[in-house]
Amino acid sequence: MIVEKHLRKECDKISAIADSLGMDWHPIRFETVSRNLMQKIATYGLPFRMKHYKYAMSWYRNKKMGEMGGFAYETIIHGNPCFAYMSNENTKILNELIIAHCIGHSHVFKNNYHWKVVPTSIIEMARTNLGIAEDYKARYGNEVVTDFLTSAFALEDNLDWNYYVKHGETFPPYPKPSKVLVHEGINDHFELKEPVLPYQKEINTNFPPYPEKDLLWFLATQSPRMEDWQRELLLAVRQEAYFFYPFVMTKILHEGFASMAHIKIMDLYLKDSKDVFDFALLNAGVVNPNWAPSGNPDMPAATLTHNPYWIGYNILKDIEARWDDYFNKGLPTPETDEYPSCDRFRLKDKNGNIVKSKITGWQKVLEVIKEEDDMSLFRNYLTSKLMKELNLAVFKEDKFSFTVKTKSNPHEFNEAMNMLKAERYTPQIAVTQVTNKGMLVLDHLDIDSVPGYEILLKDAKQVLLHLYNLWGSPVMLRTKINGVMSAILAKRNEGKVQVFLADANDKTKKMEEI
Amino acid sequence: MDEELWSLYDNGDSEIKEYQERAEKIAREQAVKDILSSPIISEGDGGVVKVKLPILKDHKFVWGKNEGTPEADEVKTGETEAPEGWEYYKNNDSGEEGTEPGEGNESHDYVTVEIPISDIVDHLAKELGLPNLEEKAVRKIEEWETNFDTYRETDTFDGCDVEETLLKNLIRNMSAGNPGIGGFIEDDYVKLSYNERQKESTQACVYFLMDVSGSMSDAKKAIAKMFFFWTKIWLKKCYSKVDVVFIAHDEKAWIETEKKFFSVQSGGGTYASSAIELCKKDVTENHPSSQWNNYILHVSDGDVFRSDAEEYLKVLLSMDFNLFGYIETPTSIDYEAGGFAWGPRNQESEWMQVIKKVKHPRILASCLDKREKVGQALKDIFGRA
Repeated sequence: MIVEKHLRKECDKISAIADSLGMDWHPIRFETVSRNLMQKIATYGLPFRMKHYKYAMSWYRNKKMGEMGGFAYETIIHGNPCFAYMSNENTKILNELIIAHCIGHSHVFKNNYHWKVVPTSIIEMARTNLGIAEDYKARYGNEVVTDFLTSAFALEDNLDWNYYVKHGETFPPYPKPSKVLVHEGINDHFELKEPVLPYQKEINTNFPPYPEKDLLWFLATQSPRMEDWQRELLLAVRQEAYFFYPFVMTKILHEGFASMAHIKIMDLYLKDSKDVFDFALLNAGVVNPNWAPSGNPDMPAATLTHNPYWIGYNILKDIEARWDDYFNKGLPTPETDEYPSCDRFRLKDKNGNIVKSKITGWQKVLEVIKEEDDMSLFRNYLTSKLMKELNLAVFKEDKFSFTVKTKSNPHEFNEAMNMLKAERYTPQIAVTQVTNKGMLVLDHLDIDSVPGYEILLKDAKQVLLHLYNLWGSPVMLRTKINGVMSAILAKRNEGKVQVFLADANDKTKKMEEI
Repeated sequence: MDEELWSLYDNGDSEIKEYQERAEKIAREQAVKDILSSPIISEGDGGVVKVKLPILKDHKFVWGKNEGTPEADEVKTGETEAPEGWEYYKNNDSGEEGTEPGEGNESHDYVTVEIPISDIVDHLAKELGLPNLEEKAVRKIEEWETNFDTYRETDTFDGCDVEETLLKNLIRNMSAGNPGIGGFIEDDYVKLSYNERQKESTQACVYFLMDVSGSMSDAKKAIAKMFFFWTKIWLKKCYSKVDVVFIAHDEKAWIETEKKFFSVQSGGGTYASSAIELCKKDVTENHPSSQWNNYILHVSDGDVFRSDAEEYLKVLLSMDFNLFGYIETPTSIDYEAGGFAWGPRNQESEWMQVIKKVKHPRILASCLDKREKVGQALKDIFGRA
């Protein structure tokens, strides 16, 4: 571990304790930086990224937050070594806590399967990308490159999250763009003379061979109308975007385990009772349920948010306690069973002896860290007992009220969580075919997965215009709008690019411009 | 890393600058639509207006609700100490504490940008005009137009037509046998001089009447002021010799200065006829209709008695005016703002009914129930038919 001088001694002690706990992590490089820099790193997610005005929004927001007193104590970035930044305003005890916390994060980075596929040199990559973008800005003009990046960023969330599962770390042996497509079809299509109707029969080229969710990669490699520098930038945006998706997948696991790690390590590390008190105070500021009981039974308190530190820590603690129990007393029987199905696999052996778990609670937690992500953590390990303890609830929302639907059914909670996730994530959109005239056809794959929600037409219109910029020919998206299967089409009409909405099934209806 | 080293890669502030430039560019393009409905912070120096604009969104494919999205029961996770079956009502103090997921904190989602007024006014001037403008007996002839449109052979060097000068120089050089530009002599210069023309304009006076009684909540007043603000800006730019009289009223009416008018606070009952009587008094004393074109704009929530409204109309019809515009800020504004609201939600006020009954060509009415409709209300009153 590399750390500044004044913390070196503490750092060595803390890492020795972590080693003794059986944790396994990438070395970490700590830096103390000013509050201003902390905010900048929090804004970009990385110390360097391609300059673009879209970050101004979150930068502005973080700045305001900082003025109001809230700012991050630390930021850690995945890699080998990991880079961790902590504020130079921190107290000594806080810095020690952060070191222990970061070791927890680093353990997840090294062991969790979502993170295994992320390149360990993302900081260098992002720095290179910044350099490339600046070069191109100097060569082709700031305006041109910024506009192109805006188009690219519009698609940065449309990734194939199972990309690495499908293809591994190498680029897939994707079929080469068919020659017919590039040289005849598309080039003829650039200056459209006749309007293309979305339901007009066009010959399917059987390309791409399977629905391609990785839109940026598809455009960078297959778009017929792009220069080399544009393809390079598109891939650079995609590279950085892939770095951020495991964060979304493992947020609760990450923070929960890091909290657990710092509590365990500091428990062994701190000797002085005053330090213990200070630590407990700091810890309570982070690992808490974000809301307080109202004290009035007529006005019970409630929130629609979860603190990932609190909820993650509690689930992991519950797992540890349960498996310690199984290790000492044996696995549960169906009669006493309050536990989810995965615990119920072994009760008694042939001779009627109680079967004990072979691993302790802490070992089980390390196993969980390896294999799970947020959703599977809830699915596999949330019990109704724990739900009651943590006051977790599922609300049913209608126009005027929220009703507490259940407080003890983990299955319903998972369903609701799934829905919420889908709502927060990007809709799954894939390229399903390129027609012989060069029209790019996109399909919305998870149309009815979030009840009451559709793709927002206003935003989709803008994204389709960006897509038109990148593809250079008409682009069509098929999805449900206002409850009806519709086609949104971007094409050139009377000298400018316009977006139309059409009913995908009813051929008699006219297209409307939106 | 060293702080100084880091500053080499400092993006934050430069990006904000670039971002603001872009926001302004986009705002200028949609001047009437966006700016007229944005909350105005202040009128800055040098003919700019500071407005709060929602932060430019980066567009992505997102889940959301379109106009016609079929409704479905939604479930959300959360934490609560209430028992199963407990019902929390929305918009209730004792109810939900958390914000809805996915909703940003609104107070952070705005930036302040400066937009030149001229851009907006240019747009307004195309669509609006003072109707029924009549030529009155006394004219004020104070506007001068200056046009550089006269060529003179010998004159003082007021201006120079560059194109013509270059052409003349080129022709002279070519005829001398060496094509090219250069070696200017006195004769080459095509001098321009200006003509001053008198621009005739008739006198006009616009009365701003605003209801500031207790029932006019802050939300209503904000919209009323927004309407007056843009009317004033437009009048000032397009008609430099227009008098504006500011009248505020609750039970009594009084004349305000411009500065105070836009920050006036009051309360109490409403007696609208007091305002029109004061207006009538001012017309007879200072702006007699034999010499002036008088325009009256009244913004109110229409919370008056029918007798008062009829009295108002009687006084109004006894006056000689070019246009009367009644703009109503109905109670639905309060319902949408989420504050305390007087009276029923969607009901036309008695005043509005009285005014609509009189089918006078110079009496117009418009309902301004949303911020976004300020531009529309301006068009309703001043739009050239």
